[in-house]
Amino acid sequence: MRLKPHLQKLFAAPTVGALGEQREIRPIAIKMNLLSANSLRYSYAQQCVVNNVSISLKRGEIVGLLGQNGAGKSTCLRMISGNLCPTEGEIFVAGHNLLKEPQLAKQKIGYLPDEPPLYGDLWVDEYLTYCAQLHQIPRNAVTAAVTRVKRQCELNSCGRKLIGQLSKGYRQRLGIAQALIHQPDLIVLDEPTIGLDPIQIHELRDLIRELGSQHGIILSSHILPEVESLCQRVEILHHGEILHSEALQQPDSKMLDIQLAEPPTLERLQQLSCIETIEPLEERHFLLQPAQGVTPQEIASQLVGWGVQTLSPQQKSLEQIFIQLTSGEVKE
Amino acid sequence: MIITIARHELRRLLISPISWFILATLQLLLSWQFLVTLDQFNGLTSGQQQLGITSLLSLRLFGVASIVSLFTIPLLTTRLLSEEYHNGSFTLLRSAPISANAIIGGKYLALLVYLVVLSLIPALLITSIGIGTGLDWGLLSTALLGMLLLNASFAAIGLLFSTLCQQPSMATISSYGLLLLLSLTGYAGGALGWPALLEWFTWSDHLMQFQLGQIRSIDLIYFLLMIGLPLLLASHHLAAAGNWQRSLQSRFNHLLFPLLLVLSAALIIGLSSQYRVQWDNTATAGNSLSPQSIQLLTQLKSPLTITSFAPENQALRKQISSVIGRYQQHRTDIKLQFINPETEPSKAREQGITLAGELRLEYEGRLEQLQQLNERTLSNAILRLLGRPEAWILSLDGHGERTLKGKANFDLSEFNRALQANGHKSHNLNLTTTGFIPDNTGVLIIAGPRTTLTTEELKQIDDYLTRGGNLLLLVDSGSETALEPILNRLQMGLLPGIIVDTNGRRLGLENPAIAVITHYPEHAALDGFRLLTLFPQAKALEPLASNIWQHQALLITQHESWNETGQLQGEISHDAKADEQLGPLTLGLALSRERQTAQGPLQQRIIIIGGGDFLSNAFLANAGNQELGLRLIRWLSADDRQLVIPTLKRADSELHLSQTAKGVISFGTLIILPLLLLGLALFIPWRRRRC
Repeated sequence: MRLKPHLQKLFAAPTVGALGEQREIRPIAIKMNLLSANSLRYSYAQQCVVNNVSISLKRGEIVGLLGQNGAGKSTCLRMISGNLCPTEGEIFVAGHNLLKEPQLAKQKIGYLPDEPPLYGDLWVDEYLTYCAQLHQIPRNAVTAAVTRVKRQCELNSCGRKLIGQLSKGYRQRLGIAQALIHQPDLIVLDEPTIGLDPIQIHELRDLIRELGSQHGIILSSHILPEVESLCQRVEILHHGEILHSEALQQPDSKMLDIQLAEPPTLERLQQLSCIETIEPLEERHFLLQPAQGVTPQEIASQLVGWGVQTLSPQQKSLEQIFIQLTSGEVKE
Repeated sequence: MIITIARHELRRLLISPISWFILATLQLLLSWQFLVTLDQFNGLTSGQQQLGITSLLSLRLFGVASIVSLFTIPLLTTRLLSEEYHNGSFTLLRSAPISANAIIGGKYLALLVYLVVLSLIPALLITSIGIGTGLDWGLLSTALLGMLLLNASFAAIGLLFSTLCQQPSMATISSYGLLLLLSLTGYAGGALGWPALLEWFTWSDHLMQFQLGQIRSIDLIYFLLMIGLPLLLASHHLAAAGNWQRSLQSRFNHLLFPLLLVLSAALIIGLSSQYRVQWDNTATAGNSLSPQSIQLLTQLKSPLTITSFAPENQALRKQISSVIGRYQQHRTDIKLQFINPETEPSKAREQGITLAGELRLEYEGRLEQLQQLNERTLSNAILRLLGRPEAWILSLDGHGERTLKGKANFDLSEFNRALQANGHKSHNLNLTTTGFIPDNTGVLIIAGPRTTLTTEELKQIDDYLTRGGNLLLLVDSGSETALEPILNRLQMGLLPGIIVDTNGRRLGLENPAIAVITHYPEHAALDGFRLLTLFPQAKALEPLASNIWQHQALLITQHESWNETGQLQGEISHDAKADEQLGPLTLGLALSRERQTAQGPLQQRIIIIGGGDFLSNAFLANAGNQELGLRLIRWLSADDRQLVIPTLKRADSELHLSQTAKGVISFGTLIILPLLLLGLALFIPWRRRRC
């Protein structure tokens, strides 16, 4: 059911203002999931593109969707952003059912699709103003909102440039700017760093981290380090299904990779108090788990008699998991 | 939100060169057509000018504009949605908290604003000649309304396809397809034999009514449906897009909604054809019946059936329907039916139809035939049907004269058939058997008796004339002696010989003894009669001074004619000495006198014509002879009441533009304005890129 505009105001959360200080965070949003997508399924022409995908997200969380090309990442994000109607399943955004009250739910979402939705014949300022108006930002706050996102996305210099003349990087930034303009609770980014140069990627990651503290962000990527460095949680999609979901480990619990010039027997190494577990990888090459509270320096000093050649932190990396999962070696 | 989207779309329209190119092209085409029409207008006959420059220009300019719209609007509508799907920008709208109605509404509104400008161009061009004539503002604004409605419906149809098609080229082609189909269904209908339904779908006929300054409910409903239906479907499709496979119920709704929409549209169409309303907005109410005709129609007591013998020609039949339609507006019991004289020749022959397109009116068993259809002739035919005198037309028989029942070449049986087709009752009258002339005789015809009449007969005729009877006397050469007593009674003399007329040679007549009459004096019997008539072997009349009869000439020969007394062989020429007079000679005369009777004052009417051949079976079909004969009988039988329908002079039937004004208008509209618009088309994108 569609509500009349004046009723919509009553039912909607207090307006997410263009300026940070105008924001009011409803206490309820902290307790409940910002996004809960339950058993989403999408089939097209008798083919199941996405099957039984459930994703939830809390405010202040950044979740990464990882998967090969064609794994269904974009389809998932299109459904979550309200651009595609799932064949089965439900989506709640900030407590609103996206399928039944799309307009209320969409006010809470900022979405960057894989191709930024731009009008080549408009100026950047015109475009952002239109985006602000589409998201019902009050008339007197529009200019401030446009200025804010231009600062955030470093578009200050090109307010009067034709969008059609922008480079790929700027177009991507403009796409992100339109997703942020109404300060949405949930930000959905489909491959946000694609087309950016390394410096821009770095800056964008900082921006995402900064936004992640206040908003909930879900992003898709096929770049592993990006997901690793940004996300608190990762969902690995393969052939439309979530194969793996894990909270990424903190760096201090990492395993160590060590190479010794003249290694002793394995038993000898296992007896060391600083080592919790150790397993050989190759001849003279081991993977060890340090004991609680032991720093890598201490381990190095105890092993130095056997000729330590390298000592580096090593976890059972996301890459390994990813490759194992998607190549079908491991079934969970 | 609609306003936000509309403003955005309008901005995109105004910064795109294509919208300016369209305006420039339209301006160029229209001003060219405009100037051509202005030039032509002053060369038209005054009758054609009487239609008015406003109506002429509105037909031409809005006609051109509608074709331009047909080809350009799909280009514009494709941009609105299909192109946005294609380049991904539609995601912005779908992600925003906006309803499908707002998206469709906003985009449509923006296009509408542009189309108002487009529609105003022809209107403004026509307005510019307001300095040289009194424009018909009612007609102009109605034509503008029609143009707006047409553009709005084209835009709605284009928008629907733009919503449906993911591929821009597909959207454009589909819109063109449907719009062209809607332009041509009328023709297809004619070929298939159910024209009315298919014609309804054709936009051009509906638009034409607006261009003529007439708003009909049926046209209004057509355009409102053509706007509303596509918009509702587009909005419905957009709201349901991607949603339809979710459940059986929504899939059902997805199909049910368009179905219900189409059904209700069909219902509205059905109702609209039953209950018709129309408003005539022209300054002189040129599309409506005059008050005189409307008053006349109130006197009809039973259904009036009009049969048209028009061939299967849509344009002709439509024209006939439209004239009859004005009457049907006021009386629903006027029925119009068509009989194709080509496929049903026997029916046409039975009814005495000689001309394709002839009409036969039937009212309470009485008949009236009509060859020329306009409000004046039709109203007058109805007037005659309402009050037909129950009198007989009798032709005298028994003296070798031409009679109504005789079948010989010189007889009048063909003329009799025409009389009966027009509802007259007729018979031969032989005085030796009946002994008297009946009281219910409307007109007595005496057509060239060869043998003398008995005294008793002459006495009866004398009595008849004294009683105030009406008479058609046809004096043939050879009947002078037999008719002498009657001619004397009527104080009428004859010139010797037979009229020869050299004008016939110009018409290719070999025989000089045929008088050609082309112009007629003002007379009630000949009101509006302009056809040429031919009189073979005719004699000239010479009215004597009379204190009883009022003479009025009806038929007068032209200058190059005289009464030839010699033999009609070899070279003939005018010979003044042989009592030959040069034309103009009097060939036909109307005599009348006022008489007091018990029923009040009555006019006795007599027509004498110096020759009966023109009504004979041999010559009746030539030129306007039959029509003349019918008119004479109509006048004689005192059935000549005329409905005078005043024609109002239109203020815009004259155009006075000074050379300077004309120059300024030509230069401004044909060169400056298109160049300006073209300049904007190039300047705006350039300017925006430079910023």
